[in-house]
Amino acid sequence: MGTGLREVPGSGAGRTITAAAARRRRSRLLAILALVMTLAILFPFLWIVLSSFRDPQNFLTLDLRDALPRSLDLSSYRLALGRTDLFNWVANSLLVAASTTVLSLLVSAPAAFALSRLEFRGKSAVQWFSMISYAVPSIIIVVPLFLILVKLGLNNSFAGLILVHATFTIPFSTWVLRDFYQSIPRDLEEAGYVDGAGLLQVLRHIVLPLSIPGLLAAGAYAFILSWNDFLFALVIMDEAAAYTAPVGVHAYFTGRFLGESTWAQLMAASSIVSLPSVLLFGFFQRYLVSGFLSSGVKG
Amino acid sequence: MAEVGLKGVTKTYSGDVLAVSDLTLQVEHGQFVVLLGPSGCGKSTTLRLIAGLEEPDRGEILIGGEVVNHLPPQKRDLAMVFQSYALYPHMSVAQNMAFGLKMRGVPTAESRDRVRAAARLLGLDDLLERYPSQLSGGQKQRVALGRAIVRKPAVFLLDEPLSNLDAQLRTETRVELLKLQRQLNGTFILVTHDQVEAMMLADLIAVMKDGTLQQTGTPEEIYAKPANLFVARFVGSPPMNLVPGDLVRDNGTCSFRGEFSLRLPHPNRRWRIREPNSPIVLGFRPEAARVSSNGDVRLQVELVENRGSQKFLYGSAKGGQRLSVAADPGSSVRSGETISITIAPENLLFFDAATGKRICPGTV
Repeated sequence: MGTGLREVPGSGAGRTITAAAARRRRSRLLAILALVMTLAILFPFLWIVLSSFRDPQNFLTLDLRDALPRSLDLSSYRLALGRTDLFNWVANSLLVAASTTVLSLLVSAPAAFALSRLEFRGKSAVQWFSMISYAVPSIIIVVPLFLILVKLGLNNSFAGLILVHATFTIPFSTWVLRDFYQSIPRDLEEAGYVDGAGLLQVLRHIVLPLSIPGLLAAGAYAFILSWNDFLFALVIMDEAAAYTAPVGVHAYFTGRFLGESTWAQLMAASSIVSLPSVLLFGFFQRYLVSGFLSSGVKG
Repeated sequence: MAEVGLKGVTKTYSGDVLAVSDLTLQVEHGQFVVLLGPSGCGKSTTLRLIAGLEEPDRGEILIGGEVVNHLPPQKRDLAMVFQSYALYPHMSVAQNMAFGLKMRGVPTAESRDRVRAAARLLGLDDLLERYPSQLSGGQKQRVALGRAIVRKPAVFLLDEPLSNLDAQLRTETRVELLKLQRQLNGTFILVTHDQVEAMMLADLIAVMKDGTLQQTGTPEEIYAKPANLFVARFVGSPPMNLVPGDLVRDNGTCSFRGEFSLRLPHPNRRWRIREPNSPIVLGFRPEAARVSSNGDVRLQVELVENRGSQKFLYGSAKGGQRLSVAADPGSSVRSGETISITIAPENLLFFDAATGKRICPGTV
């Protein structure tokens, strides 16, 4: 009978190596999956941007060799900017989105702090109602909101549109910020009180600087939601001069004969309209992730 | 003068969770008082009540003879070191230390001088520009202390300030803390569950359990004369040996009868029996017993713990009663051996088995 050492299959070092290899294989698989998903998501955007630089004359060919522009043709951009009121619409969108962002943060930051730190009657009802608003599809409340704005004399006004956008962004921002505040240790605020600071000083010197990532995340979300809104802006704003960018682009191109040249202009206009939210996301991507993550972990 | 007084203070959470119950405690100026107890005993709540971070349901809190119940923390002249250190992560060490001065309107030049002086005292000179995330645990702890002392408050509150440090650093910091308290001549109130820390630092220990004060006394009193079974068990490592049994008079002598029997000397002078055969608990510290060739109790040794300067023998007496006994560092007793031990009668303590309270010699 042999007594020599034999490696038992699936034990000791052999098992460790197999586990490591399996982990590597799994992470490679995940990376490929993520790449495929990213490409699937990016494809339409990439197509829009590439198309906007194509020669408008061969816009509708599906030949992939034509998909990549051979030279940077800016004629579609020139035409889109020259024939439409795009600068004005973008300025309107900026005004609405920036105001919505400021209003959302002004309301949601203190509201979230109160929800995270204070005990008061009706607290759970407030939290419940703020979440339930997401269970209702926007299209259902378009008409009631429009009627309310008419009653208030705020239809066809930026103030009205900003208020409507804020009704959506405030609950979400409050939710994100509430969880963000909860991730800030209470000890820090209490240390502030013991150090001689009052509530406002604690908010100003301790809570506010520590909640910047959360505020940026909530603010960026509010801005992007307001910027991208089409439905409410279409219903509320009547005059072409007051259109926001998505509505303006839609209004200009709807009903026209969409020849090759017009398609290319539409792509150019869409690229311009998408640029601010893409830039914003690019700048604040780090904060968006940390802001939403902290809310995810704690929530 | 910065004495701190608690008079009949009670605090409940959510209406029915009793955190502190009818607590009365007097801390004199310049005294180092340690609130000692297990988790959830109400010691941290007591500290937070003194700090003003919680409001009592009943009773009075006095600082410097003045009732401060309704004063917010910022209006009480005290500083607090939190267990988590609670350093402001977005401020440098210098800014952390100067924050309290800034909030109290101390001029910048004076604030800078005071921060430098405190930093020198705590060896933080080279770290003033660093941020908390760049500091080790020990450094963070010193910054937290620095933030407290820079304000020169009347009272220092410390909530388990050493619990996050490793064993060696903890021992070193205890010495530093004691030196600092003597140097500042401040009133220090420290919360801990570590009885070694309490014994080393305190002028006065207040032992708490389930929100109630069990005993206040000097470390020597708490160790030698615990007021009840809880204090006897909680203070001391290894804990006090506690053996349930009865005191019986037999032919003019007095004996303890439990899992093992022990004859008590001088029956007429010390061991008067109040109620014959009443159940009691006999207590003695491990160092009150010694290994002897012809002792009172036989012990089957199960474990020998070598602490370097001393050994402790853990084992079972007849009937399974578990006991621990101190032995010389040079003792050759090994686990598995059966030894006999002698217990010094003058160090015996007796507790009422029903109430858990210690019964004074002479009234037993």
